[in-house]
Amino acid sequence: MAAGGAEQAETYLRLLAEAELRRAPVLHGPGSQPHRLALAAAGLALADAVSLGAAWQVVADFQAACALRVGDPGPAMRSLRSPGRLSQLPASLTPSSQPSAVRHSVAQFLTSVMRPPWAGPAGPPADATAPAAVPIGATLPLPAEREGWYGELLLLALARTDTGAAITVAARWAGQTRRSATPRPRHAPFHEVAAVDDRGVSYRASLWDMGIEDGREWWDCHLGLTPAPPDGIRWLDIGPGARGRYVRVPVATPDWPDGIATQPVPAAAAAARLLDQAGDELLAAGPASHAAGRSLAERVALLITDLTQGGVLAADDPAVARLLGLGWRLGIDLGLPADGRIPRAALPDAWHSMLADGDAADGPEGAAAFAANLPVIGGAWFSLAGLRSARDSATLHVMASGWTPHGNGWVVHGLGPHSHPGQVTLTWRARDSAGRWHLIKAMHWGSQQGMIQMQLVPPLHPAATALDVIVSDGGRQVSATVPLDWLPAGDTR
Amino acid sequence: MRWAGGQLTAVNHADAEGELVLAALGGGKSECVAMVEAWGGHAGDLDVLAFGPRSPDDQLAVTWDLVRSLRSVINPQQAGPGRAPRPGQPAAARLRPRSLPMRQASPELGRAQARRAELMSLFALGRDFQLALSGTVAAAWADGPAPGRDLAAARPALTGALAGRLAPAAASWLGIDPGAVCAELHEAPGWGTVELAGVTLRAALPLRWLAAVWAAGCAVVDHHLVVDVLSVTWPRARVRALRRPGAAPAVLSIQYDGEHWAVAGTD
Repeated sequence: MAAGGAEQAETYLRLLAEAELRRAPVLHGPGSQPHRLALAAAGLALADAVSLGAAWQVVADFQAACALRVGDPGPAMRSLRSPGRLSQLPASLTPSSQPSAVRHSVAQFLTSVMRPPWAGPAGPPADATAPAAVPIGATLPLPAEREGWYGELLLLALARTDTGAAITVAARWAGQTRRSATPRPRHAPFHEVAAVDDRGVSYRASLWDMGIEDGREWWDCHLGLTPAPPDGIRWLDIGPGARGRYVRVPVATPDWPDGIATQPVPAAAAAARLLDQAGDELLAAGPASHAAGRSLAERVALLITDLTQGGVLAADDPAVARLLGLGWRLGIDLGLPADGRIPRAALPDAWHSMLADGDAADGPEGAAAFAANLPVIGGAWFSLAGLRSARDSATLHVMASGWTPHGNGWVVHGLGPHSHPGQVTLTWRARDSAGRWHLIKAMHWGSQQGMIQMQLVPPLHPAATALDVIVSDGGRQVSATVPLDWLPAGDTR
Repeated sequence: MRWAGGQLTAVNHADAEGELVLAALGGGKSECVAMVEAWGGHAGDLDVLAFGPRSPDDQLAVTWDLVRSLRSVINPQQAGPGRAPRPGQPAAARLRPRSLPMRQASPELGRAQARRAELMSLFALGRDFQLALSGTVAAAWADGPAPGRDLAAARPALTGALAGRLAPAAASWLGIDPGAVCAELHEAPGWGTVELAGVTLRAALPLRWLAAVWAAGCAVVDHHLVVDVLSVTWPRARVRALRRPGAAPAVLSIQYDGEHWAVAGTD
């Protein structure tokens, strides 16, 4: 709860509502951005500074007051559908995942342009189980398609739960069987394959999350296996590829006792974690990226204002100070006084690394087949399932169970109409063996298998041979060290 | 309908209380008597302050057509007086505002919706009644919360209500931006404080200010900010007023001419 108390935070919202009402706002319709008060209410609610009910009530009253001034009684009537509290949480939410679900639900409700009646947070499937991943590291050459172009699927890892399974893939056009002036296709190579286990049972293998047809060099995607292979099978044959070739994938869960560590981290207030997340986002996405109809820098400045003036954090709180210091080093005005100085030591190593190497474009080009199964954190399980490195970034494949991303970068993407905010309880960072830190610039997901592609920036250091992936829920930190053994890529026919 | 002395009365219903008793026993209830009853029911309703007007320029667009629309949606059988729907066209379909929720309401939600529609009908009585109802609510809270009401929980809303109404008044008094006015509730004895700190006007006034001064429309009179009302002999009142921030308040006599308040003398 707020250092200044919930009453001070709610009073701040009430006074902000009055100031906004004086501006005679015409509340936006579908397709626009959340209003200023909704942003503040979401921030304070996510920081545990005000209760969900209080934040909701202030926003609802404000919207009703605005609407009554233009003869619309709808918001005044809708605001009677008050939000539920913890008693309405789905039974499938584990105790540790409840805060995450509630926070997400709060922010989604408060910042939804359509502002539907409160529905309560959705929980993960009740049968969520820990995923298990195994590395593959094999290339499946594909037969030629149009104009003789043939592709290949670099199979990185198999990740599966009791209900879903996927093989992470880096796909590309590998070459052309005959001379032709036809340029390389702009879409990803696509060839229908299947899987057959050691018992002769077949599984459909569908390519997912291929991305847009933009003529890129590599496509990061995965093969979703249907149905999920059961326990007890020894291998899967994936194919047929060119000339009927199959790739054999052993289905045995490796033991990774030495690569994974769990340790407590100093407890931090939710508000402080919010600001740290905002700093990560400033570095990963860039201050000029847009959030809720304004630049990310402006959005973060508003967040600092709301948390400090709402009595949640003192103006000299270390979390505020390090974010102001970051802003100064990025050349953006987050509210640091002209004579203010934030010592270098106030900023975390990850931020210093990002400041130094954020513009690097020296990443090794290649793919690494690894697997790491993380212990439960934040009420969810994760398996790391391979990575593809490029000059400007790297794509980390993750299978999640009991957790659905709702838009990384809640400050940036989460406050618009097309994505969701609230991803504040889990923090993802990575550090390669050369000492370079990496943050998540974007997450892509969409399939049924719980697969997520995380875009790491800046690129991996050319000399890196391993990567520490670090996930924190604010109380504990799980780190997994995975090897970066680059697979040979190229025409293997 | 007439509001005087803090009471709303239905002029043509001499025995309004008797009509309410009859209504409770199953008889009909006139619209006027229902309004009197609703007024009492909302005399401590913070929604009045949340939705109601803040300044002379702040107008609610709540009309009787809108109230009828609400009633027709909430309870089509009790839409109240109004134009009859055209033959063959249900009243609800014709009048329903597009943005109203259509989901089936629980009994509890239904009662809340009816109460909210009731509040809209009070707003539809017009601006003078809106101000009077706002003052009634402020007075109810200024006298201490009624049983079952939590002052601590209501304090943020009450602070917002005070700030939202003081800011435009103080801005017109000093010619400053309303955003430069910081207000808080004064909960100690006395009228409070109003001081200029740099470019910010900091004011601490009691809730009574909303009831006695703002609702009466005499917040700013002849370049004075009225901070308290000492006595009233209609249409004159003795008030405590500030000529400038930080100054000691002067006791003035002000008079209402039917449209405006003006200083009539000093003590």
